[in-house]
Amino acid sequence: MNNPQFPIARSAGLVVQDVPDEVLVYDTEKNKAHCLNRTAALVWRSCDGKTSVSELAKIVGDQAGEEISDEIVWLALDQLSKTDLLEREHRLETFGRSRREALKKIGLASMVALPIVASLAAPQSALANLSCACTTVADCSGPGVSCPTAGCSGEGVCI
Amino acid sequence: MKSPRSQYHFNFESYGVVLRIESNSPETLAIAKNVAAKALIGQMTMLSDAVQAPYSFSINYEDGRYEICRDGESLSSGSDETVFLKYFDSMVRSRVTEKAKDLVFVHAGAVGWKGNAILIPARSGMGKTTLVSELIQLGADYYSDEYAVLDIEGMNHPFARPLSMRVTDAGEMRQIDVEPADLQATVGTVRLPVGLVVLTEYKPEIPLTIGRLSIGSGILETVNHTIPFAVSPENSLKVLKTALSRAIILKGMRGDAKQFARSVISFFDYQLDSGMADRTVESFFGGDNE
Repeated sequence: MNNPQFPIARSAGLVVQDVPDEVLVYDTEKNKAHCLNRTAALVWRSCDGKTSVSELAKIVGDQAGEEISDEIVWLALDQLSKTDLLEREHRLETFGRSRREALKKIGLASMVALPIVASLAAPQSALANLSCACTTVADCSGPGVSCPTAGCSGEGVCI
Repeated sequence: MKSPRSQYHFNFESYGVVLRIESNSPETLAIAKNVAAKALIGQMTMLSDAVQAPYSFSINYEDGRYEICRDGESLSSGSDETVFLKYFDSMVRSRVTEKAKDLVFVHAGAVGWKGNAILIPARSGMGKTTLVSELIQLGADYYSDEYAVLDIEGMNHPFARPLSMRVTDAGEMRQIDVEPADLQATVGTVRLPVGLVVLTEYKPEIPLTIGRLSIGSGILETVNHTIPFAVSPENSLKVLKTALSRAIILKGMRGDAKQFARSVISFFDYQLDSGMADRTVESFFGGDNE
């Protein structure tokens, strides 16, 4: 089955690590790390390409032990799509929906279950983490800068 | 500059990484050896010439200029010995900390407190050393002002190099090395579980903000300071998870290091004594910037 309405979690090029109530995902292709909270992780893990949004809401609700509306699943899919964690784009706008409308329907009562995907660019290389790492000359001199040198090498180190 | 032939060399192992250092001059090689030993806090085991080294650095000196090559590729050249050797120091540490076997190096200050490690991951210039020195003044054991060294069981090992402190000298800021003993510090010698992680930056112009992060969010923030992450993300995540899963993780901006250090210890003591948490983080850190 390959219904575009049925989201599929991406698996290629990802390093996944479970932590209590959260999932960490490192995208080796985009060099980005993500932290999915419990709701986002449950939705993501259930995206098998065979399950509709309403069915996802039921599955995730059973696992979470609380009622999960379609809108919460849509919000999760929107964030997962924005962070390239789905095989196909599954943005709210694509389906004629808006984030504001979804949040309005969810209401304050369900705020605890809102899906969150936090993302950060991962370090490019060890040099970026060392003292005296730089991208421009300005990183190597001036107040608060660790390296009292005036040049930035092509390797990204103040010299 | 044409690369002169590197006919003098030695092989060594540090944190499981085997390197070869070469030079066209025995004097330059001796200097390079001292720099490497200092950069790696003496954790060097000399190896025989017969050992195959997967990584190498060449440092050559000719016509008043130094040239450095890494694995046969020219990286930089220059005539200022101090600047050049500092660059070499960074390169050696970079190579070893990125490729270390069974250990994950995190750019962080680290102290020991009542059998637990307190880690302060941060970029350079964000006040790690200052905060570490203040924690030492409060009785913490010194582990490092540069690296948390985490093993596969999530335990933190010492990397107790001299503290690299900033001083203002004739209106100019410069860095000096201060031996832990000069701060009356006890240097930690045993590995410790990570009890507290403080992700903080020195921002005196911003009101203090501090809050508790979830384990996942804390690991995500720490990824950015994890040196081998780019080359071994899977192992890095696994070790970070093991290390941080039992820890309390705080994040925020801080002002004065002395007051902030007191708040950190007060907060952590309470957590250790009470077995956690009916008081908010803010009740310990409120008003630090005043």
